[in-house]
Amino acid sequence: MAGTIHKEENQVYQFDFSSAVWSTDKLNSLFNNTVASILSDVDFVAETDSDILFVEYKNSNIASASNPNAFVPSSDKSTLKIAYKFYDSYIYIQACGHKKPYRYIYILEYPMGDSTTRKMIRNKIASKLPFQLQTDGDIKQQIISSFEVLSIDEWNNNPLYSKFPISSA
Amino acid sequence: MSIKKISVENFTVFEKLDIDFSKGINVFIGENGTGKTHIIKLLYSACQAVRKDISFSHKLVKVFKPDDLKISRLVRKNPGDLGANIKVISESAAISTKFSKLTKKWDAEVFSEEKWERQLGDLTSTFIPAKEILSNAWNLEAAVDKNNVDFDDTYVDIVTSAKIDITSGRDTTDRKKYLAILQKITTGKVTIEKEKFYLIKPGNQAKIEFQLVAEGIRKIALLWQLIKNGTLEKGSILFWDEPEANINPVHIPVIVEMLLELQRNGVQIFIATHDYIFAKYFEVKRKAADDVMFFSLYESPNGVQCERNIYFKDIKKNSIVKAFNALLDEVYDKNLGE
Repeated sequence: MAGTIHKEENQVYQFDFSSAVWSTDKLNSLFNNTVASILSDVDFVAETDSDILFVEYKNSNIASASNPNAFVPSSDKSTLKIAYKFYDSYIYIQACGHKKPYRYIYILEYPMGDSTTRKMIRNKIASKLPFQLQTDGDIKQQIISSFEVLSIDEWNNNPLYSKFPISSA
Repeated sequence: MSIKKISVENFTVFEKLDIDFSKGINVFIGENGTGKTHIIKLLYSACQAVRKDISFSHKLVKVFKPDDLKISRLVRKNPGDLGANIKVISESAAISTKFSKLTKKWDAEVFSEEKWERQLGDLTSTFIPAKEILSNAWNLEAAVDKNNVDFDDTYVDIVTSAKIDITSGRDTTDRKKYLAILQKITTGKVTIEKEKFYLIKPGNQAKIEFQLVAEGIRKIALLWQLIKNGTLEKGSILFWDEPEANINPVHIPVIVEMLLELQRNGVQIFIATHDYIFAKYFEVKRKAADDVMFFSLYESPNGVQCERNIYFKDIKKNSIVKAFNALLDEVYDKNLGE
């Protein structure tokens, strides 16, 4: 297996994709260097036995978060950004020829978050993702297979993702 | 004066349960039949028993209203026919009662009632029942006495609480502040005339009988009245059953903020709720120094059990979240075109 353990940008948590087929956190620097950052990137992409995982991580629950209340994950601005990250990252991953179903997971931690607010945010973002679009008769291949908004705990206890645990760095 | 703990054995849905409370706000959630209302009624009955003219076991019967006023009907059905045991503990005293299927009428054994009365004699406690009753206040007490209607004591008592005036002197700054906030919603002041409640509108001073006022507004007007007449002062205890019923969700944050303020001013509060918005607003509006605790009552093979957490979002057995999440999942699945 050729996946890696990646640390997130604040260096508080790490994502262990060592049992994945491959994994990367390079989209950000790649887009910075090649397309002047007009494309938005997800934090990690990894291939599992059955899927390609697009993983975006946001955490304002950490001690070093400068102004946790400034982050409003349910806002129109925030939810649009998360949707764009999928579309832009999809261009690159598709062009790399990866054929397995694409699952998009938004790992979200914030002070007032609970499973209900995460589901509300999921539903809001999902309406901007191509679920309905891909039912169009001219589209020949599935663009996205699923979208979830999970806490760190929910990710670690999910049967699909628990093999790639998130833990303190 | 606050309640610290309750121990219940073999009483209605409870086999054996001990619960430690916060001296601030205690929020009970749980599906129907898990005993939320029973717990707060038990605590209320104990609080009322601080009065020399109120016996704990008689009050239990009048608050729960079993058939024929038989306290034995409140014993949980159990194979060994064991009796019920209830103990309510405050900082300075405790009161307890024991009864079984053989106990006659409402004559349960009560222990340490005198010390309870002595130590807590000044305690004011108020129970706001789920159904609004002030609009039917006229002659309610007499009708209940004559057995013409079958309301339990929580309904009779709240009418009395709303009518009395135990303030000393003018409104304090805090009280004025609360009244002003509530009056913005009710757009009027509560008044009582010949045993009936009215809302007096500002300006033309129109007097509107409570029956004609929207039920949600009547509830908020009741809160106004209890603050105005001195019932909800420091050291008192408030019990509120399903405060969200009939309230426009837009008013819920105001009510939650009001309850947090009352808690900051020394009122201990017990609430039973089914509402996500109500419960969640406590989480959102609380400040670091506020004392708020959530209790989730759930069924188990050993009777109802309790999960306790300072955070609503961390409660694992959360029936409110379960129901909301089921709806959100259905909406999601529908949007995916499945």
